[in-house]
Amino acid sequence: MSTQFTDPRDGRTITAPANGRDVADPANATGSANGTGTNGTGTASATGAVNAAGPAGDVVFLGLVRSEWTKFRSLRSTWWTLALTVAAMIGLAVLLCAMAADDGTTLDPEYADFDATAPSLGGALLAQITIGVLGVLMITGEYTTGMIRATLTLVPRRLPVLWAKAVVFAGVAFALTLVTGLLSFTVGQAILAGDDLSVSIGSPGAARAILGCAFFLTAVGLLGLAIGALLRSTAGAVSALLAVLLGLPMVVGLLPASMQSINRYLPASIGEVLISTQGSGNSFSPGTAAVMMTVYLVVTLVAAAIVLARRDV
Amino acid sequence: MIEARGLTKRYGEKVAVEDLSFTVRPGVVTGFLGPNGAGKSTTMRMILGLDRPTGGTALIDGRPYRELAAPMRHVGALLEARAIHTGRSAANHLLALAQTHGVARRRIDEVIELVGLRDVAHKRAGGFSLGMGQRLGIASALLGDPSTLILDEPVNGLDPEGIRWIRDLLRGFAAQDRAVLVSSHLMSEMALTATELIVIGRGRLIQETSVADFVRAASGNRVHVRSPHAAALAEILVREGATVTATPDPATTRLPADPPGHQPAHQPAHRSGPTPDQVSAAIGTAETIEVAGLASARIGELARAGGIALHELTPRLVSLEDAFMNITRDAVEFTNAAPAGIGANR
Ligand SMILES: Nc1ncnc2c1ncn2[C@@H]1O[C@H](COP(=O)(O)OP(=O)(O)OP(=O)(O)O)[C@@H](O)[C@H]1O
Ligand SMILES: [Mg+2]
Repeated sequence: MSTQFTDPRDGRTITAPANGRDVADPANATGSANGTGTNGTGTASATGAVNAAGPAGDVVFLGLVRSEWTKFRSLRSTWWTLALTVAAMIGLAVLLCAMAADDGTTLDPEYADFDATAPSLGGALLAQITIGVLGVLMITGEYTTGMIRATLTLVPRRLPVLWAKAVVFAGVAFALTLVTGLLSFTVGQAILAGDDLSVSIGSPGAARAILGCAFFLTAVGLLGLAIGALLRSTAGAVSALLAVLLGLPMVVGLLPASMQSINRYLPASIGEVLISTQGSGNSFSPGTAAVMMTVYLVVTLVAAAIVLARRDV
Repeated sequence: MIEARGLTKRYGEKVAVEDLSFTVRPGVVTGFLGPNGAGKSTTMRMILGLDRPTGGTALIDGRPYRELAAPMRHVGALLEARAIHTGRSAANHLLALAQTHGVARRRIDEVIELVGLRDVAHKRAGGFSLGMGQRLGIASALLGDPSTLILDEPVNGLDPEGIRWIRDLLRGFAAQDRAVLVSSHLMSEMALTATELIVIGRGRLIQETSVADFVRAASGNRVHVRSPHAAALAEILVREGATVTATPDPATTRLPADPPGHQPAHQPAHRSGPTPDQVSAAIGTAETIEVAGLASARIGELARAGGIALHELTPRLVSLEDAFMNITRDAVEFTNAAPAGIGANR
């Protein structure tokens, strides 16, 4: 004995058996619910088994990279932060170069050692924030939504997830900031050219500064990823990252003069070295700066990895 | 196949799960029952390697979960808390999960179809209703066509069609000789879905048994008997150690979940009660009696020996819900106060 209803939306018929044990074929139940279900019978189609071997292969790193890329590209926030990063770099390049062009000419003695590359890459100061937030979100977004439980259930060894995220992030961030850096430089020099202040990309240090800029911004984003994995909260990790990048220089600035030498060890100072064509007397060489930034990054990532491997999700 | 051996989990002072051992076998649906806070979700998280046990081990198909080369092939899991990024579409969510194990895109369409989310597959999961989110979680669990399913309250938020669909899915899954561990607070649903039970309370195992045995044990061998000579039969039965009560109207009488006086349903009969004469006097001309403490077979034999005709002899079973409440009463951590005015009418 069963009762029949007709669904008013599409006129399909729903059969409701009077007795709970007298159930409809599961495949048909789903099939009629969406109109195109396979009309397979029995339970094989209830689980949709493809074949005896099963659809899933072993977990391999390349698969994790693919998965992280899918996660990365399928969030709107990714494209917003990337767009903001580009806008910040090019926008500030235009602004700073226009101001420099207004201010002086090659005839002014104080412009004798004018670094034409600096204003065209000055946008890195803002871009480090947006790219850093993107790095943070890549992992805290999973913790705040619970997605991390799905991720780590599928990859119970856990650490490969962190490395896959780092690979995807580094690839995208480096490519984007390198291209955007080149663009900013070109646009900036075009503006400075009006006042004869411009340099070519072949000038000493220019190409290296563009490369250094991309390296620094990528490293900042990865630092955000590591801090995000450590703190698991977006607000906490963004605050911590900003404190390191912007807060520390201010705090050190308040210290007595004898302690100002600390300043050159800060990521912010390292970034300045990497992004400029000429070192100042008090700072490291670009090569040393790159190594130091790498050391900071590796230390933070290792800390994140240890915590990720041990902590309950 | 899941084997838990001495699983223990402490969160600081709080012992969430203590020395829990059980086996979830393929071929049957195993229900995982326990009052709120009993430790069901914690146990499931430990099985999946999300929470590290303080002690003990859980094996999946004979190996620790963390050592599986392709976890998706062994276990599909639906956790209590949502595990879906709100900003991503259902299709992309499943794609990201599938890519970790190299699962083909065709399979993604298949599970989307299966859970009935085709029309919203490209909408952001953040806008999904409770039931839609649950369906997406189930799709994720089925993606790798696993040999074991672990589902924490899967029917939570599902509509009646969805509930029935889950029931059929789980039974069909078990029929394919796969293992299913499913927790739920909906006892009526559990009674229809599961055949085996793991019952825990305050983090400890209370019973690992079949649904049928669980219900039978909680029913305390109660037998409903109708006979034109009920009073005479009662006398005989009481002499044999049974407890006999008259049931005025068999058509409408239901065995109470909580017998008056709060004695457990399976309390054994004892001799200090009324004498056989008193019982038969109390029964008088009533035709139906309820007998506790004797199996129905024994009652039938005693009636035949006494030359008494029986018109009905039915073992009475409590519902799974009643059985659950009786057995976990002492293990309930968060009890409700009875609403004012309701208890007073008794
Ligand atoms: N991360 C945690 N930190 C501290 N205590 C926890 C944590 N997770 C669970 N607990 C505690 O462990 C106990 C068991 O919780 P659990 O969620 O496993 O119960 P449950 O059986 O799933 O309950 P419910 O039926 O309500 O879902 C509870 O007392 C809970 O407070
Ligand atoms: Mg729970």
